[in-house]
Amino acid sequence: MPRIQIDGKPVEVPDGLNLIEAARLLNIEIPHYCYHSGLSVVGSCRMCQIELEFNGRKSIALGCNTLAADGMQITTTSDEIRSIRRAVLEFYLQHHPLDCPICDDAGECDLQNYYMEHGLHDSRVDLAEKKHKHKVIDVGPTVVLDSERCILCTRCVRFCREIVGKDQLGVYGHGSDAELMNVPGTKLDNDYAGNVVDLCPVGALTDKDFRFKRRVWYLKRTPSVCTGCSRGCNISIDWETSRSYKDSGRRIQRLKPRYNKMVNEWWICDRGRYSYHAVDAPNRLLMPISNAEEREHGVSINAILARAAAKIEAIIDQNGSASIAVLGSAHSSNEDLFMLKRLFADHLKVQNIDVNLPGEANGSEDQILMKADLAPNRRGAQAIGAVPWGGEGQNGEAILEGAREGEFEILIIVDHDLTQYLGEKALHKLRKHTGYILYLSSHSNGMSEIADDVLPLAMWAERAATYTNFQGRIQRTSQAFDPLGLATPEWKYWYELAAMLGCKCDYETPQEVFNAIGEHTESFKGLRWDDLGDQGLMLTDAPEPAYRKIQCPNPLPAY
Amino acid sequence: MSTKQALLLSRNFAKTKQAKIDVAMKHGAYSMLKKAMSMKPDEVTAIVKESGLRGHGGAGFSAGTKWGFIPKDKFPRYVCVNADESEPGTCKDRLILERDPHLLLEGALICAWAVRAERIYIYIRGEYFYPAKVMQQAVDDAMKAGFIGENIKNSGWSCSVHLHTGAGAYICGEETGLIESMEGKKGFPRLKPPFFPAAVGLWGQPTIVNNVETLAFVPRILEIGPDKFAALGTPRNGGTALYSLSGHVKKPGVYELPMGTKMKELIYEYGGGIRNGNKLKAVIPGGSSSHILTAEECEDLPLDFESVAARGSMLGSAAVIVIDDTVSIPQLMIWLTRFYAHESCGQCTPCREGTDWLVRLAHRFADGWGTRKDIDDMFELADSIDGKTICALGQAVAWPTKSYLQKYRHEFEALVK
Amino acid sequence: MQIPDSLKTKAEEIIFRYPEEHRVSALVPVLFEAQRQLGWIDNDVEKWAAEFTGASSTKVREVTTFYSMLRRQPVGKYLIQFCQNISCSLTGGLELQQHVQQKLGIGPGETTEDGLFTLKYVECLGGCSWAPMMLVNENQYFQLTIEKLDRILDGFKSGNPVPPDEPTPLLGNIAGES
Repeated sequence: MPRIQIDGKPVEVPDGLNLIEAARLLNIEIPHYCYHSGLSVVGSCRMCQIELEFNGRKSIALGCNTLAADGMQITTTSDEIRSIRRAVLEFYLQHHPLDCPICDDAGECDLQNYYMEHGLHDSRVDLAEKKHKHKVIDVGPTVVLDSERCILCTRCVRFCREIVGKDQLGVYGHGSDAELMNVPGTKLDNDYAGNVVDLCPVGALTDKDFRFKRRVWYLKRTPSVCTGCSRGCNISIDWETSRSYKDSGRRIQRLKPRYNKMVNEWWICDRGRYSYHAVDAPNRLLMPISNAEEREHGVSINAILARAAAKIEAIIDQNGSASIAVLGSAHSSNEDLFMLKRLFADHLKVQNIDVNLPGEANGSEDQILMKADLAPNRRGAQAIGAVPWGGEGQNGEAILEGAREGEFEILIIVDHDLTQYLGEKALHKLRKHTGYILYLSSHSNGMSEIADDVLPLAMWAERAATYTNFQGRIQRTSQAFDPLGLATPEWKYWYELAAMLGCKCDYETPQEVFNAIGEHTESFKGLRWDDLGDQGLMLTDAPEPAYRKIQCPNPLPAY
Repeated sequence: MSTKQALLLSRNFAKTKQAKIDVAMKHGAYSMLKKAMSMKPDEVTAIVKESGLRGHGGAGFSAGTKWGFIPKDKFPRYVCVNADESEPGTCKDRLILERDPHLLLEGALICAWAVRAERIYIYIRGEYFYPAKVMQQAVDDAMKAGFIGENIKNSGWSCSVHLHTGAGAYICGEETGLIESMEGKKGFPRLKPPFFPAAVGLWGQPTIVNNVETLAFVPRILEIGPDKFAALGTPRNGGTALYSLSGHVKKPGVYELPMGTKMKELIYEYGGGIRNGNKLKAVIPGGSSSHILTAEECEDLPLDFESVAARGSMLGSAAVIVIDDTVSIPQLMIWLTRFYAHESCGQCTPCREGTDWLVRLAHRFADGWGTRKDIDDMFELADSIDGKTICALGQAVAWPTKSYLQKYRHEFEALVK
Repeated sequence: MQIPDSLKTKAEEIIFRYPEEHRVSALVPVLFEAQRQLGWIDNDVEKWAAEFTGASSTKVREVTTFYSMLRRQPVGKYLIQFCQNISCSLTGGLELQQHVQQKLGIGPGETTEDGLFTLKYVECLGGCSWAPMMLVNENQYFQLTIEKLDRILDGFKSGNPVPPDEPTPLLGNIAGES
């Protein structure tokens, strides 16, 4: 491990690290545009030049293309270095349009940031001399290009080639006429296209979904995990609630990837990136509904829970727990599933519990990030034991089959919209034979129409929770804002219901529930909420997978 | 004509049909290849090193040393002949390609033998239609004669030679830009390190990239011996060089002279002096990328790498452009910066943006609205490009620009509005 | 444009120069040859070159727009590439530029109405000692004067071209040896 000095501070760095990364260990940021930790090094922006003293020789070197070696002394802030940066910035800015007031990137633009730090010069270029290039170019279904703002760092080009393996962007022309563009006839339409917007250090590539929506300085950022598939990519939720008159109350403005070396590195897929629209969708369930009382709106959650408790108690007394079936969901968090299991399996001895239904919707899968299983927590449901048990317990398929034949007096369903699985005739039969259906869902759908009672669920951005991804990594989400209406996290319903049914637990918060999982569940043994950190922890019986660079199997070279 | 002339490389240029293999062989072509192949490859490299042969493409790097950089045990290896002659002022390789193509082929093959390469590519600039035609014919003939191909002269060594045409890009004369271009890409010079393509070159393999003239000297070195070759020039500058003389001399042309020939001798004795009875004003000694030298600075200047460098310029490709007192340096500045702005590949920010900016400023003086501040700005911009880029094109524009401004500032000031 | 068989044959010849796994190396020479035969490079040629060499369409476009000799629009029957660099400009190139513009009635980048000539000012063509120089299509002409320029242009106009300066004439201390 080389020992080096950066701005007089000694640091020992891992082998094979370049100076930009090494400086980061000391929280020193060497300015750069073209360099990105996840992409190949091209060294063309010339912003990361630093003073290097090595083997008795002084030189100006590139932070990105110089690997730390024992004995190096680096200066990142000398007058010469500052004047080099200033000059490079001025080159960038000579033709840069004065778009900042209308540019989405303003506020998080590296041209602006570095200008405030190193530039602060008056322009030496007449406005009339500014070169004009193409603006508002529709490069793909999700991204708009403004090539006048582009600084030709080629991060986006390299991302498409090296990570996605598709050659969808190129720099055409040479010299100062060079321009970023897509080949006419092709589109930037890969499943990861949104990442180029994150990569763009300036406002050249903007996201159609976010364009002109909010100034970034109004946004608040909450770390979370994508619940769009079983990978559980780490994300940040960028949200704003103070101006609800805009965009009909849209609270989440965008999702950004959050680095997690073992899960998603710097990237997320577009399926996940734009999945947040469901959170503020018009068909969110805001209130409990009681269809039994002719859709009497205004029924209280407590009234529904009391009714459910009474029915459950009566049926168990009458027919035993075999006439109850619980269809949980792999979209639920570990806490939800733990409480569900605790109440129904442990306390009420209901054996017909499952989260899996045959034919659940699958998405496309690739060898980069996307998983076919769209449920974020199937692994967690398995580990917690939200499964049929006791030898008699029926699995999801059997429960569905039995329900159709009127085998169950009470059906408790989370999330699954059975109207998508059963024909009209079967549904009719199920409805006729089942005494009581309690349905928990975040959105209204066919099932919320036919269930007796419906409870509204809070969604991932509205609550703190943990999910276990396909590898067995447990990761936390945080609550960005309050749930809509009376929507409530699932585990709380089970908690209340349990109390009514004589199973008193002492959990006030999801943190406490998780810590209880750590006490009671084998695969979570000893794990505590606070230990999960922002990168998650593996299930105790799941081995840490080997590191794999997130990229397609056949990357293309940078140029 | 001076008795000092030493026609070594160019001695067969004037022979009729020297491009034909039978004629060339009558004049000794390929005999040195045979000699080289009777030696161990390392011995050939050692001889070339000993001779003091330096790269005639511009950088003046020792050829033998370069060959020695090839890593052991990494195969296949390639030789690329840099025939992308495009440094303004330089026009010597054209003559070799057209008038003695077999000499170049022989030199390239000897190099390939020395580094155990299996393929030679001749990267020839797109504008050289006729030279490419001659060269292709020479390759075909040499193949028929068994100097190229499988198991050359029963040595067990096979080597093929191919032409690769460029399509108009000065930057492809930079050795890594040339390699990128050969790989079917834009000719973006590669980031250093790795510093030498000898380790990581064409298709990631060890590759020797040498200029046409450099390789053409190799058979001659074997012929007369490294000591005699070295003795022709000055210490550390072995042999002769093809000086491309252009501009305001009475007799422009390509002159083969010993390294270290005096500038005045080249201009006045060989070049016949300045045209139209005008006075010498300045000289660009090594292609447009070199610092301009004033008439006074040319006094007693020997044209070898060290001497020209000591006078604050560079010998480069030994392309001497002579400028008389009718020329305005601000006008020269336009031609110069326009060229580099046109040829900047666009990869590095300072060069891409800076060259374009310099052209705009250069035009201001000719157009009559330049200011004193513009002069300072130009100097500062050139300084901001100098050495701040991946390849040497940044320096190639910065150095002459700064020298024009330093040495002829009064001419710019005279044009200030 | 249709890709003629002659081009396909030539392209096969070119690609033979490179190892099979590096077909893409033939991209520039293949495009150059296509332009030689067809006059310019349109989208169809780009597409064909991409398929033939295995390059992506993006890469092909990067290449066709990077190299200054590759053109994506047609030119006249005779493309005049007139050197505007230092040595040529020092030795009368500027007057010749004026002259050729007047004679043909076109500016740089333009084509005469009869479609015969396109004029292009280019950077150094490597003929500095024989300056001023120009290329007309693939023919090199050195040591231009107004008189010689007229002869050359008239020759092309009348279908009776002046033979190019091939090989490049000998100057300097090399001349006279034989």
